[in-house]
Amino acid sequence: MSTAAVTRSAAPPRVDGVAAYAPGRPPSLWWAVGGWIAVPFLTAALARDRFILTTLAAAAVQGLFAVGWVLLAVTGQPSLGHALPYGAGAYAAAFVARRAGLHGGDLGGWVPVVLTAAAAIAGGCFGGLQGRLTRRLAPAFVAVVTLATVEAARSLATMWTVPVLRGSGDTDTAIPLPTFPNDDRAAAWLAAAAFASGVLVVAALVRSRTGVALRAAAGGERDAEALGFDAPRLRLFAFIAAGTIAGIAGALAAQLSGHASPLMLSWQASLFAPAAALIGGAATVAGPAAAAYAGAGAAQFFEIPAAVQLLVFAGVLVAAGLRDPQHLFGPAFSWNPRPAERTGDPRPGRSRPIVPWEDA
Amino acid sequence: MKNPGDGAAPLLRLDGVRVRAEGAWPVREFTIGVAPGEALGVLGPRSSGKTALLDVVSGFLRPERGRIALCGEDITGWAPHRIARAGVARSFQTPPFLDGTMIDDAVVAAAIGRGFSARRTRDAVALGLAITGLAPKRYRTGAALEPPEQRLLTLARVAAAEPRLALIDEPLAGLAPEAAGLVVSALRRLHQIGTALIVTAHDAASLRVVCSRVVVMRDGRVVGPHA
Repeated sequence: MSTAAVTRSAAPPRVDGVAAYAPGRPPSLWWAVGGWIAVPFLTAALARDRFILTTLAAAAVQGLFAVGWVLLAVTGQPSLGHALPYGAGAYAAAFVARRAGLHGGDLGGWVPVVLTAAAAIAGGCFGGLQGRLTRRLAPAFVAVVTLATVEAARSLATMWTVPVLRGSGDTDTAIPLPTFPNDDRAAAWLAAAAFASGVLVVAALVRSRTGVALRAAAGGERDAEALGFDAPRLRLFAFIAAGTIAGIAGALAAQLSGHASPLMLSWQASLFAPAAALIGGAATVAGPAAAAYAGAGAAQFFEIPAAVQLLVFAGVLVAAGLRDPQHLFGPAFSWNPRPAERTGDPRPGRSRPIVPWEDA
Repeated sequence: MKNPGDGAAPLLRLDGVRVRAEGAWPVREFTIGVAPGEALGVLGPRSSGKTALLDVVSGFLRPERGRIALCGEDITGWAPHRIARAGVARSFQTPPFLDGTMIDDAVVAAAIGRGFSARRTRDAVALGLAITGLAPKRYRTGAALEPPEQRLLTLARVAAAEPRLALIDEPLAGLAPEAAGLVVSALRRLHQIGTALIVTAHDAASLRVVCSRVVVMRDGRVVGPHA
């Protein structure tokens, strides 16, 4: 290599008379994101059977729940307690509905919006709590502490339903809240819209400048700080954003089913999101979203017992850990678990330098 | 000792800086200045305090006593990310784990971390890749790079931040002479575009190629200029 002079200027730098630009960057994967958000709408439009419509709605809500976890994966935080903001959202919606005595037609029909907003706030707060607790922890300890928080919350949720705490003789563990929407087809469309919005928001965030910062925060705190990023704050932001999305998913799940229950804080719910990310590919947004949608839909359609689902999710995590433990709990857990060499795009007219967010 | 940083407006000024870390004093009563555009080499044996000096300037170690000023502004006790945004770039002796990250993305992160706009980021990334010669590999992942190229990638990130001062820790450690030549060339280009450097090394010969002034550290103190 020569020591040819390089100068700062507005024009592209040149070394030895040759423009220092490579042929082009790999093609964008927005088509994958677009394709997957179209699937729930198509299936909702084509489905005729009530059971299928209910299944599709549940699958879309679970997909929304799982896609928020991608933000944690991007920042290298393998949370095993993503069910905490999910359950918190469901319980917040139930709590608000119960305390305010709200019913379906109250507030001019805005009850679902109010409940979902309350759930989003609760999800963000509980996500933030997890982020605060794990602020300076190594990835393996993030997994342990977040799992502990969701287990603690499940115990509290179960205790909330016993008579001494709730002041009633009802021993049912579920907390009822107004069902919305009452029509199965509308429910499938609503869930599909929520899922699509979640995928688009997360994909846009990951591809944005903030996404670059979030990925940098996953690569080690010292390195991120040396680049100018406030890594602990970025990680906390990821927990709050992921928690908000999970909270909304929890409120939707509770309103579709008409109740919030401690099952929403179960191990099965906790392991679902990371398992979907590992199956779909944690380096992408569309992959985990697709895996979660397909997995939840299959589980609902075939009525797979919760214990069997938990076994499958645990098996996925164990297999991933045995395959490459560093990438399960290491800083690159989130971003490209299996590095694949990407080559330049040979298409003509792509020779100018492109920054990632421009491709979107 | 004649010190170019002792002028009216030094880029970086350390006055009586003393640092305690892990029960030891890696930097004691350290006073030095770096002029704008100057390349300062810091030579010394292992555990002489070279890395600690870079850590204290970049904010990873907090001085117990003394003052650090960048362009006349007191930056003592600032968080590392704030110092980086003020124009002090830092590379570590061990390159970051970027096996799964595209080289282009890794360099873009450095420019965004500095707070550049999209347009300026594009130019800064092109500059960083041109200085290090990594432009042909910009769309490959870090896993595709040889160890010397990984050092070049860290320098590309430093260059893309367009810093006023770059702190380069042991850039040549463990490299074969030919590979070291590539890194030295990149360092010289970085210096040519007006970036002030503080480079640490064990080997005086490699520092002399890049640096206009070389000081020797021992037990956390400057013991004099290198002859």
